[in-house]
Amino acid sequence: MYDNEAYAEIVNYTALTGTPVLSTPFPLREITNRFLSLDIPEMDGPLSLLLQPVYSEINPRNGSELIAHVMAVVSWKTLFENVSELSLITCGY
Amino acid sequence: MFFSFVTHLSIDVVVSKFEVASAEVVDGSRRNYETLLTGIHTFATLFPSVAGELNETLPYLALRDYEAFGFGARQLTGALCFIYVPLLTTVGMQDRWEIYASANQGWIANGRSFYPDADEPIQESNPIIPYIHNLRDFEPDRSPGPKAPIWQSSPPPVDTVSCPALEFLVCLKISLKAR
Repeated sequence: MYDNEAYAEIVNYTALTGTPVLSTPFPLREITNRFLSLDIPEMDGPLSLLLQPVYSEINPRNGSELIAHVMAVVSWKTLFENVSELSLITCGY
Repeated sequence: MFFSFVTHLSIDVVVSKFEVASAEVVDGSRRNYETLLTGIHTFATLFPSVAGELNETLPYLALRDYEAFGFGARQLTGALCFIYVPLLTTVGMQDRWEIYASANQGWIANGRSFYPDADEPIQESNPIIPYIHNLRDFEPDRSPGPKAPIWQSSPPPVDTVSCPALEFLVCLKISLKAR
């Protein structure tokens, strides 16, 4: 159903199992566990961790280096709109 | 399995509703994701821009108004937090980073000052742990790397930071109430 590239990227960066999916040592397991241990309404359910590369120049070209990432933590409740409605329909309500 | 739950609707009706609803879910989710990507991309472009303006060498940078940018980006995208994570590929970069991070902690106080009306007490800042460490036991990480320590975060941390010790999660609660 979600066969687009964007969704594949989300899945790749999602730490549902706590298993780091990147070769660099991002502390995904710790971040995920810390979030899931909190009682925050916006965060009911799985999380996605998305990484945006930061290059040494705004317009990457020859000589521009990858120097950092910006990591965004997103609740699936925010990301996947109306999924609950779909669930109700599949149950025949 | 799917149809076993259907008791009072014909299969055709359920399939029709499912197709409509699933298309809405896909479209809505794609819009959310694109908004998020745009927000995080815009946020990421701040760093080379500001570094160029200030003649700083990336990744050694602490945005003074990080929380102002981060707050706006979180409002726009619905993300729970935005974290800047430098990529340190050599031992020399890691050594330099530890010195840099210890000497540039002002963004934490600046970030906290963004929420003057928070209804929970905010603890005084402890000095940043002066070495890159893991989050499980806070022991120094002396492996050669590469390493990607957590640095600036929005919402800001409320306690000891280096790879900020993820205590920003406490502040996350505060910022949510302050909306």
